[in-house]
Amino acid sequence: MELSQFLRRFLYHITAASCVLFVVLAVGEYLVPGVVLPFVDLVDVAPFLLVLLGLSILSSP
Amino acid sequence: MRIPRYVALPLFVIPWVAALVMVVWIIINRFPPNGMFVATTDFTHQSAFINPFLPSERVTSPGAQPEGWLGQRITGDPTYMTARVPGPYDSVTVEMEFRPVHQPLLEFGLVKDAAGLELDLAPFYFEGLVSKSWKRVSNGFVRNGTDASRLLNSDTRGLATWDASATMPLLSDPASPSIETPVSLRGAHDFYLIPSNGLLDVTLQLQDANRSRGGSVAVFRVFRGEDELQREVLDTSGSRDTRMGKVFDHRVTVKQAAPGVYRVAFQSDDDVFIRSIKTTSQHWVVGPRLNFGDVVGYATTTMAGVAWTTSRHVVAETLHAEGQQVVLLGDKKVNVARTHEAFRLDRDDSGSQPVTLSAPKGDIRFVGDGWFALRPEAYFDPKPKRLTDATDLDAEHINGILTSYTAPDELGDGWYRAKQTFTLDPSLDRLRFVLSAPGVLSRVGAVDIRRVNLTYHREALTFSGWIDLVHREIVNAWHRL
Repeated sequence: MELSQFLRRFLYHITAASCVLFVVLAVGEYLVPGVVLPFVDLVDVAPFLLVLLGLSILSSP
Repeated sequence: MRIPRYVALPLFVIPWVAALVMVVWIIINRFPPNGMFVATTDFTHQSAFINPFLPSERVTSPGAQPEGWLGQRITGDPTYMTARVPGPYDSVTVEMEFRPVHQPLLEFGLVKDAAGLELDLAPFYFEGLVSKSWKRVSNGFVRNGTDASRLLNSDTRGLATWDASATMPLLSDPASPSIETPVSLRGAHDFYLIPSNGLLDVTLQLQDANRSRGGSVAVFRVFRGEDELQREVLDTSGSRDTRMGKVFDHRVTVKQAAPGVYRVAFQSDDDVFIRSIKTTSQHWVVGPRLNFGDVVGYATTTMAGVAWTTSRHVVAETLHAEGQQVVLLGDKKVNVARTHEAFRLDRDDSGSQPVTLSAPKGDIRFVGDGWFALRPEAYFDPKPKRLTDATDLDAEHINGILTSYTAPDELGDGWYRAKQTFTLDPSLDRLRFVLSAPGVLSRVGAVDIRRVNLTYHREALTFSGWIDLVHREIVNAWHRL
């Protein structure tokens, strides 16, 4: 696997795992209020997720 | 440059493992297997679990204070702190580091209802007991040289209580004719009476002023010591009445009343007035709250509020301009010159006999550390005086204090660390704590707080118990969908 291809796929995995984690935590907070937010502030995390999504889209061939 | 597949694939798994670890970390924090969760704040950063004290007009902004220390300063009373409960727990221990500044007494507690009326307040700090001349015994504090059994004695002289009950004196009077005392008392009052010839007989003349919308409800509860004997609920007027209601009698009797002190707790809102009290008891008192009402719509002349009390510290407050007046307690007087403001009367004499409390215009509320008789010959002490922020243990010759209070740890430089544990309702996801610093405003005092620790407890779980708990939360969440 080429290095550029590896880095791109690695970025995809990071982005996908972060998105899945974000959704799982958001659903958890929705179902049991107060279960996630005190430990992880999802609002603060959201911009980083958007950056990751942007980079993934930009890096797609 | 090429990356071998056996290197790339494990690297691709890392983000997923990290996400899984994050989920597991949150679950373990939410449901710690050891059954303990600790939240701390030093007021320098925002905490997800503990909010600073409020309201803002009674506290300073959390963080660096002008004198150079870090924390928050309390300057009013009461103040509230909210906390987010991090899961299902049985109890919480609050540990607080604080420094009282010209503030001799603190109480700390939990607000148990949304309206903020039901408080679970507990002793937190009393300056008078920091002295080495007092020692802790099983049910309170006694002066060095005083036997611990003094606290079990029913003689109320030289004793004080602070959030504790005292041994009830077994008192009884001979038969006596019924005597009526005209009064104008407003709202809830506690009456303490000694039975006369084995009979407790008291009749209150009531009137609903119907000043607020809807009829009022009055509740009569009768206690002997701490045991409730009777409870009766009655409507004082119709729900659409808007004019002054009729005066009517309500009689409370306990036949074959054993010797002791009986408490008739009359509970109602301030719309209901007590116009007279008729009882066969020779000794009866009211307190620690005594609210002289007005006579608007009932009589054409003002009824003065007069009582006899051994209270050494009384707080007076009126809600109406007509209640502004000079109030006398023995030879002390204070001009209650503004409405909705507490004015203090503190005796500094050494007398132990009841003195006259006089409010010529009525329409004023008193709260004392003792009790009030509405006939001078009826006075008696139903139990020891309450410990208040104005209590001077030496001047008042107090040798014992019945209390659950535990002296806080001294940390030096005037700082203390105190602890208090509260049982939790598992359905609550937010807690509201209250810190009471009575009189802090009038004495220009303060309470500095530099750290709060909340330790939540529940039983430690086995692995299967822990899985059950998580499973139960998931099922609950599923049902919420």
